[in-house]
Amino acid sequence: MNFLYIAYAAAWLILIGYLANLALRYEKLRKEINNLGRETSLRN
Amino acid sequence: MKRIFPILAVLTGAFLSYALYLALLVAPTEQTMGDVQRIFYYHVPSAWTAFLLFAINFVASVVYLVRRNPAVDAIAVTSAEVGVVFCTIVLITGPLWARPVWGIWWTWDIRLTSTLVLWLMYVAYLILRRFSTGGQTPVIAATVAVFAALDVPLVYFSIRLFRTQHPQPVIGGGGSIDPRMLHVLLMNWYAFLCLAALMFWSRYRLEILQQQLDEAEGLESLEMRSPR
Repeated sequence: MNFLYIAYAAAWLILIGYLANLALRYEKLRKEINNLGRETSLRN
Repeated sequence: MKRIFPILAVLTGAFLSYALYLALLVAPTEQTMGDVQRIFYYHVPSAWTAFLLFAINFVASVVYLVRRNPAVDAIAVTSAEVGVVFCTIVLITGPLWARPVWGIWWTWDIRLTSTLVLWLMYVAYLILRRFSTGGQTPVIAATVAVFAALDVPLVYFSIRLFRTQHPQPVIGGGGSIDPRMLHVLLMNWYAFLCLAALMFWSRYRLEILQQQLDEAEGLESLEMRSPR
């Protein structure tokens, strides 16, 4: 029974971990886009 | 589209919860293996989902090599990454099932080994995408992906072509399955497909945004270099 719960928990951990990783990458990309926009507007 | 995404995410979450309930509480207990057999409801749908995503990666890579369309390249990298996530689940849940049933975590059986090789090839593909900065990276990656995809049929047919310790396929392979178990298996697969589609959508948008940012940064650096 323990192996079953460990397997299901591991699967969910991987899926949630990947979703969290995607969210972090989105946030990082959003900041980079904002910075680029700010730099462009400052120069112009 | 932005408004639909949270609704689809909630629906997928509900569907996954329902599929989990079916797998843990509704599916009949297998007589020989007992409850540990229920790992099958996550192991097999993850494998099918990974195969589907690697097939998409193969088609996208071939199309990219012919047309050189960046949107197709984004589909290729997205499908490889999400496919690796599901293939990782396969490689973790498999040994967790094998330990109580076979008495060992791992054996260098053709099915297991070819699946590990498949995972390693797509991880190598993603590392190439992540760390190579040359303009030819998408072309090299697409070529690698075409070769990596050759392992997918080997993994799938290995249990039919070779003597292996891995159980025979439950659908279309001469094995039999209780219709209630088949129903739970398919429900879990559909739920995983919905989740994979949402992951694919998110990752694809991220890749397109990244491509646009790289293009904008390239233009920016060109403007800075050129005299006014």
